[in-house]
Amino acid sequence: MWPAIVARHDLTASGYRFRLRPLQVTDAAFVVKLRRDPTLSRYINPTSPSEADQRAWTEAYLLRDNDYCFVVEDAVNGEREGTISTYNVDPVARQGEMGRWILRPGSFAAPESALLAYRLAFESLGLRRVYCRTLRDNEHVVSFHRSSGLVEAGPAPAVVLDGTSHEAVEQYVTDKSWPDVERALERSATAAARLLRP
Amino acid sequence: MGSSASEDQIRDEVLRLVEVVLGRPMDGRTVTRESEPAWDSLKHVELLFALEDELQVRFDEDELASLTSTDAIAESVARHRGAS
Repeated sequence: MWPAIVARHDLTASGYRFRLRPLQVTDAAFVVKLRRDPTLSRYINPTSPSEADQRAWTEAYLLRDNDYCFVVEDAVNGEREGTISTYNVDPVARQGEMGRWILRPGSFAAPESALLAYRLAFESLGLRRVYCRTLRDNEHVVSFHRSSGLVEAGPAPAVVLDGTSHEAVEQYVTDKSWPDVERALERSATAAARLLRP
Repeated sequence: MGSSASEDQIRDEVLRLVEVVLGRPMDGRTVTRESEPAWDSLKHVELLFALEDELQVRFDEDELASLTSTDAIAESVARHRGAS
């Protein structure tokens, strides 16, 4: 038996330095500021500058049972580093998409936030496959997933940003390949925690 | 004004480690994260960790975010070693 997928917006995960906690309506200002940061917004869908819009989005999200948004926090100082989500969860195919992954410039939370998000997806949600769809131009993120051990599935549906169509690529990890990906991310997450040494 | 021999040596050591961690030779002597697609967030952490280990330095947490090029790293290593 695998865990039933129901609306669970209470999932948390802790790692060596960072942790994931559920997104809350009170995170609206942080999310708007993060997503509208000019250095981060190049490869993501446009975000309304309105905190009220973000609060409304979060309230609607909390009613969805196939969507899990997390805030990435530094466990030492409590500061918010960014966001990450597992969404489009298909309980029949037992797969979901990892994305809405945005970290503040200079953050070292990338390996551990991905590690924790996958861990929740495979071990708490019982998924068998997690995929990431990234604009091909977003080379560092495509490379990150490759470095983690994700396999390229091929082109994903193109994404239109500012009226221009952009190629996207799908990369994935399955429950079979998850232990190898976990090892790669663990190694990097441990190194990040040691670099940051509180 | 040219750089000292020790600075050149540090630059070479940094570049060699970048090549090891990224798994391929670099084209020039100066490499930046922005210009090198394989220098992703995972490799970045591994690189800084390897640099501390191999070059026997301890980067300050406050400077970690700025170590995004071989030049910046070499300057930091030189500073930590008291070589500049």
